[in-house]
Amino acid sequence: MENIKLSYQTMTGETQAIKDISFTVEAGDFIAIVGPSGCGKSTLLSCVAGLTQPTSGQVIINGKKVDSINRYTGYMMQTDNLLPWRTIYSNVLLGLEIQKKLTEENIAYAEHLLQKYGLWSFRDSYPSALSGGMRQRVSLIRTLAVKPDLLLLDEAFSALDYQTRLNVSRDVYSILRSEKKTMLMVTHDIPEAVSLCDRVLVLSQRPAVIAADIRCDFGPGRDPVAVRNTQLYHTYFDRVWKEMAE
Amino acid sequence: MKNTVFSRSEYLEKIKKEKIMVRSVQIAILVLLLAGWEIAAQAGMVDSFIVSSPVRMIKIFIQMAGADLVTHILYTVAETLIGFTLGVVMGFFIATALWFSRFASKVCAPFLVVLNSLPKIALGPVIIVWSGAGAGAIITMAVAISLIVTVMELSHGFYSTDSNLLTMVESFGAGKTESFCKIVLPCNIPVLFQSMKVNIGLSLVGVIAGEFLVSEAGLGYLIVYAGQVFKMDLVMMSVILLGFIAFIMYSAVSRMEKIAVKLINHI
Repeated sequence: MENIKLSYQTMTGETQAIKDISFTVEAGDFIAIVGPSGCGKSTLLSCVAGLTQPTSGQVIINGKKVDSINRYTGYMMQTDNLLPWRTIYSNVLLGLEIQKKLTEENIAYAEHLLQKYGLWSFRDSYPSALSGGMRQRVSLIRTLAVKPDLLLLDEAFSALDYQTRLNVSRDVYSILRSEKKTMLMVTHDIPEAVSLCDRVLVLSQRPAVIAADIRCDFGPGRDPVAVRNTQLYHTYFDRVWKEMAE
Repeated sequence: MKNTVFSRSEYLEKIKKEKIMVRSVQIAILVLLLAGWEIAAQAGMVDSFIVSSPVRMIKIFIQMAGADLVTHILYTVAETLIGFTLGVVMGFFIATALWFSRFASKVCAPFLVVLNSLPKIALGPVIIVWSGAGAGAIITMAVAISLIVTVMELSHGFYSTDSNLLTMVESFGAGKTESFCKIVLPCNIPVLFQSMKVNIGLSLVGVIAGEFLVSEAGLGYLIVYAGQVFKMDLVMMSVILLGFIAFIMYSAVSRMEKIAVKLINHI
């Protein structure tokens, strides 16, 4: 099994965005990073993706140091970034196309994902015909098609309206769980962090360090929308909130 | 304006009506202008020897159409299209190279600005010496005028490509070539057509300027020749023909643009 370790330090130019951050993500964990805006959460994530190099320190995934774009991670952003000139089907295959992995097996897997998550009938449509929530799901499938172990979500739901956001985050949660993926997400939305993740890392103001590492355990078979009504959820929410306020 | 809720048929009717109105007013303005011009010329309010008149232009048109007018038109159109194509193709390749090398792009920036503001027509005599007095010089002139604008516009477009899309393909491991082919190029099709719309006009300007300096055929040549022998009817007729040609070529590019943008965006 995979064993993802991550230790990381950085200094961006004159402003020290992140002072010293080290943490380990176990395979299958869902982890959220929350923190005040401008504390370098997104930069942290793009370091894991290999898009940015940390000033010092290193990211290690599956025992290998990340020094460039790597095949273990899938990266999702706030915008769905679907290409309007491609059909849903060929949008989904974009990642495989770039990685030159358009094998029959991989295509079958992408098609299977489209079918499983209710987008098969839209495979010949263009992105402009889909709603924001559906587009974000297509974007997720595009990321999953290259079979990454670790999913990186950078404010992936924040462009959606509230209702869509709840639905999509629930979908993404169950998709990632059933595909047995590991997830590292950055968000400024505490409810989202608490309801979706097993662990919430709270970053401090710049220069950032980990202010708290809060475990959110709701037991097996959780529903990210339903848990929002439980007492436990409020307890976790308060803890995260207090840590952020400090 | 009042906002009213229309039924589908009312709505379509309204749009159609507006379209017809715009077109009728446009035609009316044209007719009035021509009629006014003709009347003023006939009544002696303006000297028709100098400003010509619609009827005189039609007469010279019919007379020239029997002679070699078509050849002149073809020369000008062909030179313009060749200059335009060369300008767009070369501009595209230079802009692409500048996208691949940010360093080169930064180095070239001030030179491009200077070249862009420089009146290229001033290079006319030099161009004639370089490429000889003939169609070569004329086409070079057209390219000189349209190339820099294309490079600047396309290069700006390439560099303004949505960075989120680029990050997305990079996260899949795409290199520069793949990013360019899969993202930058399709994203900039509208920019390409935008610059082509500007370019087709500029190429015509270049060709006419070139024909003024050296040529044995073409509308620019005809204008210079007619001016020298004081055939103002011929000058005015040629100018109006140029207007028509410019309009037709622009419309063609604009039509292609609409199709391409539709293919890209699927809205």
